[in-house]
Formats: sequence, structure tokens, C-alpha cells
Amino acid sequence: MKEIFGVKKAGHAGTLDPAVTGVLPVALENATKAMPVLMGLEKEYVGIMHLHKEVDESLLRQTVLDFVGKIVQVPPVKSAVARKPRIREIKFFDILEIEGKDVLFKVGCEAGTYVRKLVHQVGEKLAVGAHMTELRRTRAGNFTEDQAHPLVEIKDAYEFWKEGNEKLLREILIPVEYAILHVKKVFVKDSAIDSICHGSPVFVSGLSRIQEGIVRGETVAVYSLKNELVALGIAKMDSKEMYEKKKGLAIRTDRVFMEIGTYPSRRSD
Amino acid sequence: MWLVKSEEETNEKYGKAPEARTIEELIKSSIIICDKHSGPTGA
Repeated sequence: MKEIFGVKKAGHAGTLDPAVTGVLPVALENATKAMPVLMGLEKEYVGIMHLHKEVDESLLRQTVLDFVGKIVQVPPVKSAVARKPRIREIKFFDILEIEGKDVLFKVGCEAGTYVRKLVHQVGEKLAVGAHMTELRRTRAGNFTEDQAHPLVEIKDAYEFWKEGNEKLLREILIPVEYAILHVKKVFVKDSAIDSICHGSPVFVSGLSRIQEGIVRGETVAVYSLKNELVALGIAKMDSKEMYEKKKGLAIRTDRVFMEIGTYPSRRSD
Repeated sequence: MWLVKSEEETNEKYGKAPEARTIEELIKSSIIICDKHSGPTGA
């Protein structure tokens, strides 16, 4: 991706498992600052579980259902995280087709769930053993397969743009704002923007509109009134406090997206 | 959904809506949804 676009930075919100195909959000340059937020997106997968012995169908279906809800997993050896047991939520786990020892399944799960491990866990519970032979990510957050573009298509779109037609490339490049719609947001006044771009917190006096339901400690997206992402921060007040208080620190600025100078500093206006 | 603390205007002289970004600007600040085929995940 870095080569196609000639950018210095790119990051992906996916797994290190090379066998997993499918929907993969990739952030370019400045948008890489949004990666932590994208990593947390819920995922859906379709995969094939290969049982080491055939199993009674109703037992298989019941066992798989037992994994819906909170489960415990220890990250595998080849992982980017600490190998400590952690809880993950399985939203749904459906069996689509069974052909002998091969089971086609669909699963919806919290970010950071190891589906390969999950299949192994199912095999253990069934006492026959199982391993995953194929896995395809069909959804990451609100992004589905039909919105996903293979690398060749992206390359072609880039070439078309270089030749003067930007239509395809414009469809492919998603402004970072649209990738973080699940993050609660506040809108700030023009006059508050420049200091936020310098890393200053968002004070109550700078707020224009506040989304309901923000709790203290939550990651919040700070937007300009033109819908531009200014920064991501941590809420130091909840929505009600932000709305009612006359002064105080509302949000601690964590990552700045907007370039300094986009909006003027208070003094120059 | 929204608590309107202060209804404000925004000055058209500064900044621009995401939809108005040029391709050059988008390349520096966008997300691409890739359909990844098998192989190491290298960006």
C-alpha cells in the first residue's frame, strides 16, 4: 500500500495470521493515528473447521452454541499481545454447512478474538480435536465485503487518477471521519480549534454540540463544525457535565489529526 | 442524541468539509477497505 500511494506510513487493523483473507481496513499517513480505534471494531468471519473425527450433528451445534457469550482465550505464541488469559465476547456462532468432518461456520466476535484458537477450543470441548482450514473476514465494524477492494483494483484506481480520472480512487479513499462513526463525538467552535491542534485540552467553553451518552474515560472524537476530525481525546466529563458546566476541562487531547494553522489562533482573528 | 450547548457558525475561510478534499489530501488522511488475499499482512 505504501508503494502504490508513495506514502511514508500505512497501518492495518487486522491480524498477523497470514492465512486470513477478507476485509482489512488500512490507514494511510495521518489516518494511522486512528488505528487504535479501528483495532477495536467488531468482526465477522466465515471459516471452515476441520474436525479430526466426525461428530453427532446436534452435539456439534449445541457445543458451538455454548461458546456464544464471554469466553477466555490465551493469545497464541505468534501474537502482538501479552500471553495472558483474556475475556472476549462471541456475539454469534452459526454453523452454515456440514460435510463430513468439514464444518462451514460464521462467527461474530469482539476485536482481539482468535478464531483459530476458538476452533481449537471447540475441538477440545468435543473431545475429538479440530483445526481451522480457512478463514475470511466478512465484516470489520461497519465495513463489509462489498465495500472492500482487492489490491489490484486499488492499484488500477491509482493509475486512472494519474491519467486524469479520479472517480474510482475517490470511491476507494474513505475520509478518516467516516471510519470512526462508532466513536462518540463533540463539535467545537472555530475559535477553540487551533489550541486543540497544539495539543491543548478541549475546555467546556469551546464546545458547540455534544453527543449524548459520553462517559468519563471514553475515547471521544473532536470535530470542527465543518465535520473535520480535529483530534481524538479522552473524556474527563460525561455528556451532561459538558453540557451543563460553564467552565472546566471536558476532554484531554490525545491524538491530533488536523494540521496546525488550518484554523487561526485566537490572537490573529 | 445531541446536546446543543452553543449554536455556532463556522467561517468558510478556514478548513473544508471532508467531501471537498482533493485526492492528494485524501491520500494523506484516508482509510482504504482492502480485500486481502492470502499471504503475509504487509502494508
